Amino acid sequence: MTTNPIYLDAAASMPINPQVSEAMIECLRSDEFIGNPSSANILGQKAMQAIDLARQQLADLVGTNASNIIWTSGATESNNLAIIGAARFRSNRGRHLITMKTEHKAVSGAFDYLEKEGFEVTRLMPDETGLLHIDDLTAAIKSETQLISIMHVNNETGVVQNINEIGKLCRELDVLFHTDAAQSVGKLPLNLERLPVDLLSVSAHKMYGPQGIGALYIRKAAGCGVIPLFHGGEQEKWIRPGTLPVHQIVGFGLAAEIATSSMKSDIKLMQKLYQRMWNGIKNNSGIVVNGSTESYFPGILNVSLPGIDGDSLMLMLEPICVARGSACNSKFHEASHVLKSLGLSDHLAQSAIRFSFNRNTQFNEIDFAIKKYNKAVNFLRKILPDGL
Amino acid sequence: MNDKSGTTQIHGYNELTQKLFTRAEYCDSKDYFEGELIELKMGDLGLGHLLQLKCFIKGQTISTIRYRVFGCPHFMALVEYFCEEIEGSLINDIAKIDLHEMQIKLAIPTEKTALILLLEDVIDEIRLQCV
Repeated sequence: MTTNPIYLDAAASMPINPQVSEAMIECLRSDEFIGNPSSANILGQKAMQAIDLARQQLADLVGTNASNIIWTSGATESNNLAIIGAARFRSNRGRHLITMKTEHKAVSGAFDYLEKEGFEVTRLMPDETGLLHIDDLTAAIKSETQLISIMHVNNETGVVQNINEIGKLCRELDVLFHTDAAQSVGKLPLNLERLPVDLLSVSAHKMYGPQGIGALYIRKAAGCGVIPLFHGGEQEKWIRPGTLPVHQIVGFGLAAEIATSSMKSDIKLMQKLYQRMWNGIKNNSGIVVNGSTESYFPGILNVSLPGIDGDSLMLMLEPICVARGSACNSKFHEASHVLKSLGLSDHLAQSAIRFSFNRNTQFNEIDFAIKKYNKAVNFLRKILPDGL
Repeated sequence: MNDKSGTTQIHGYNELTQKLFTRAEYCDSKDYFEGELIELKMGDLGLGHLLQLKCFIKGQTISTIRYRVFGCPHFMALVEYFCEEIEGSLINDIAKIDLHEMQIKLAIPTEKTALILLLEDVIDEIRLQCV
């Protein structure tokens, strides 16, 4: 097998922007940024200035004040801090929480943990396109409900939830609203001045920044807050103690600034890549797009085919790096919880492949992927037992 | 990533599995073969593996064996390997085929031992039908 991979797994991690990596290397090499940003000395303050600039760059991207941004180690930590922190913060008011079955494990795992602490969690099902119906959410809200967490763009299907509508409902009923926006910040326009969102999780490496750094937006408002998960320092206003990684934050900030200026052209490119990929494979009999084809982020295309084993398909697609719609449990061929929530059978969910694109993706790479996919499908179907 | 034998693994599949799973040398081409035909269909789609076998028997020998398959790369490679071993064998000898060795060579994890058990059933069924 060739050793030149074609990367169509951007939803897992984006390639870092070369300008970003240069800025990070410069930061690491420079004598100007050797100080601890918490130190009051001149080098500490230099480092803090770089962090403040990055905080402003990210704040500009999402349309908020820089003071609302808290640095974390990534979206998983942001989600845990937001969900566990906010649930505990409001626990004297009520202990009922709402989320969806299609959330990332960084969210569902935090809710699992809270259940062990005695919180009651309602997990809503989407419709067959992956979208949440506002009526279902309204019906699930109780007087004890304190937090609702619904992701913006689904990492497996690219389905975009209407967070404006959900947030409005939450505001009306004085319920905190958190959204995992790891797959949308830097890719879709977001203005937190206008959006009724209280807590929002961000990841740098999903927007051409470095791995290991993320952020949590916390709206400044009465009744909105989080109890810290870590203790032992005054960094990030005591909410997230720990020495700040200057070079990673500098990289994140620059990635945010680049995203602000390139978002429109990026979206257009994603639409073209999505269409080219889909047009190339759509003639395979029985192929289905998993998730909404009305409300979706075009950087993610998730498809299933009856009669195809996802593991075999993925191995045949090498050297194209894609993701399974499901994490195969080799014993049970366990299908993705997201796709099963959309009503897919185990068999169909097990065949799912997620293609995800980035601004470096070339059209000839898509064409190569199309050829490989169609060839692999033809082969795997040709050898199927009768009746399949 | 390298496995214990030092070969390159992709998605947890070693080089031999990668080589065999799409080789399809013994895949059913719908050609006509001579001999008494034994047909088997085994496995469970719900468990992720299904196998259809055609064995052509001449005298006491499996002269030709052809398969059609649905499953993971381990299963596809295992069936291809199994057919290579079994074609040309005397029916009385097929029980001697070392499936455990195949499991080791293909680095099939223990949680997929059901695939090996399925082939054990295939061997039993062929022998039963040849009696």
